[in-house]
Parts: sequence; C-alpha cells; structure tokens
Amino acid sequence: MEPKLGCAFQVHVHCTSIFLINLPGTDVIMPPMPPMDNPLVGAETFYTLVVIAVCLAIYLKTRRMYKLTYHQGLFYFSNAFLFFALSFLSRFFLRFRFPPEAIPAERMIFSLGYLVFFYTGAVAAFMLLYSTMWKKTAKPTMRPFYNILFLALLTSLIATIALPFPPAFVTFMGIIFVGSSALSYLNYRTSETKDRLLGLYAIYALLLLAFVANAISHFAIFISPVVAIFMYVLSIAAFLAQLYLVLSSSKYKKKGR
Amino acid sequence: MRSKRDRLEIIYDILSLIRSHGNSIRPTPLLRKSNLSTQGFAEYIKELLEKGFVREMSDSRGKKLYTLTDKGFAYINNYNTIKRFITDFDL
Repeated sequence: MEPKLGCAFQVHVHCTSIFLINLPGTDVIMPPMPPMDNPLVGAETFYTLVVIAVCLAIYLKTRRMYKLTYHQGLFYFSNAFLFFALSFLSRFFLRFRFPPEAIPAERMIFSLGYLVFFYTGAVAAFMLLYSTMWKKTAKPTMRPFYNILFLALLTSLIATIALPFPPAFVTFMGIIFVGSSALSYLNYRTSETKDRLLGLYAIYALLLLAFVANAISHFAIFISPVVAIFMYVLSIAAFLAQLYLVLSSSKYKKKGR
Repeated sequence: MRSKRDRLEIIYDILSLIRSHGNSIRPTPLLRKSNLSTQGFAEYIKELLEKGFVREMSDSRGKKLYTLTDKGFAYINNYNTIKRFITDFDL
C-alpha cells in the first residue's frame, strides 16, 4: 500500500509544488521542480495566448490602414504590437524551456533568449512612444527606424548584463519605465486635444508598466505566485483596453466627409 | 481661414477629383483643381503612381489621363475611418 500512497502524494505535491514543498509530518523533500511542472503553467499559457492574440489583432488591423496610407505614425504603431507579440512569445519559451540551472550551453541560449525578449520588448515600447512623437521630432536627416533598433539593442544588452544582479536589473527597468512615461506625458502635454487623449496615454503607461513588470517577473514569480497573477491580470487588462480603443476607433462609419 | 492640408488630405482630394470626373481626368485640370504648386503636384502624382493608387492611361487622341485603381477607391472609402483613427491615437 505504501508505494501507492507515496505516488498519490507526489502527484499532488507536483501540482501544487510552489505552495507545498514539504508537507508537515512527512520527511519527503521534493526534488527541484522541472520547469513544465510549474503550477502557473496554465495561467502563463493562457495569459501569453491572450496577449499575443490581442497584439496580432491590433497589428493586422492597423497594418491594413498603413498599407493604404503609408502614414509614418501607423507604421510605428502597428509594428509596436508585432514586436510586443514577439516579445511575449520569446518570454513564454524562456519561462518553460530554458531553466537557469541548465548546463552551460543551455545557459548561453537562456541569456540569448533573454536578449531577444528584452530587444523585441524594447523595440515595441520605443516604437509605441515614437508613433505619437514622430510629427514633433521628425527631421529629413533623421533615420528614426534604425535609431530605435540601435537604442533597443543598447537597452537590451544592458538589461541582459544586469540580469544576474536583481537590484541593478530592477533599477534599470525602473529607469526605463519612468523615462518612457515621462516622455509620453510630455508628449501628451503638448498634444492639441489633451482631454480626449487622457485615456489613451493612461493605457500607454499601463502597457509600459506591463512590459517592465514582465521583465521583472523573472524574480517576482519566485517571490509570490500572487504577484505573478496580478501582473498577468494587469497586462491583459492593458492590452484588451488597447484593442477596444483600436476596434472602436477603426469602426467603419458611412457618414461622408 | 482653412488650415493647411496634411499629406493624407491632399491625397484624398486628388483621388476624389479623379473620381468626381468619371474616373478619368487630364493632368492640367487635375493640377488646377488640386490647389497645389506644379512641383508639389508632380511629387504627389509620382507617389500615387508608384504606390498604385492611380494609373496613367491615354485617350483616343493619345492624351494622358489619370484613373483610379482599386487601391485608390479603397483609400477614398476608408479615408474617414483612417483619419479618425490617426486623430484618436495622436499618430
């Protein structure tokens, strides 16, 4: 009978292993949890799928408008959501496929994976910011697209180097968030129709926060699953709000010019 | 006084002019009615031809005509929606 009970107990602990590493009254110490046994795997998968689907829906909707008008703002806006989707996809693989305790070769892949996650996320955040600023900053001599790619590469390299040092990493991501939000707020202040745009810029701030929270969640998920769940809800809310704005604004109206 | 037209609006005006003339118009009346300088008009027409909004044709006497493509019609039909989107998102 005993082996059967042990088996049942192990299955139960595997399902809830973040919460119950050692049960009182038992001498069983669980081995390190394989990545796919993470109890948040379901939530993480659902969250990633929702965010990627929302990002791709926004990308496709706005890409069609860009192909008709070749408007610079639409170009940066639509690509921002393509890069957000790529960023969340790379994050998903990182979370479940490359544990940091892996052998050196896999560690290298893990670091490169993080570089991809930071890079795509940074490109997305910078493009979203630039989509609202290009009219005020564009100069004929500027090459903003390449500047954004270079700035994102620099940011992601620093973030990857700082990754093994949690305080430095969190501080760096905080600086990125505060800097981006400040730029976004300054842009909002100089916009012609401030009142109408308040909701839009609040959502941009939420999206930036979601990106930074996702980057920091590498540490947060080990502190508390509640923090991780809160971050998922925050991110999904931000992206769904953005999708709602996009769909309601791009709804076809028959009324003439 | 009417404010200065932006790029999207100028393109809309040119395409609408072509459509309102039975989808074929000669360059000279199009230039005159578009309220653009000769140089500005040439730049816009070049862009519209390159991007496939407008097609260049000849009439029975060999005179040049501009007509709209499907993409040109799609632009006119979606202009209001796209314009509102750009304004709403401060793009």
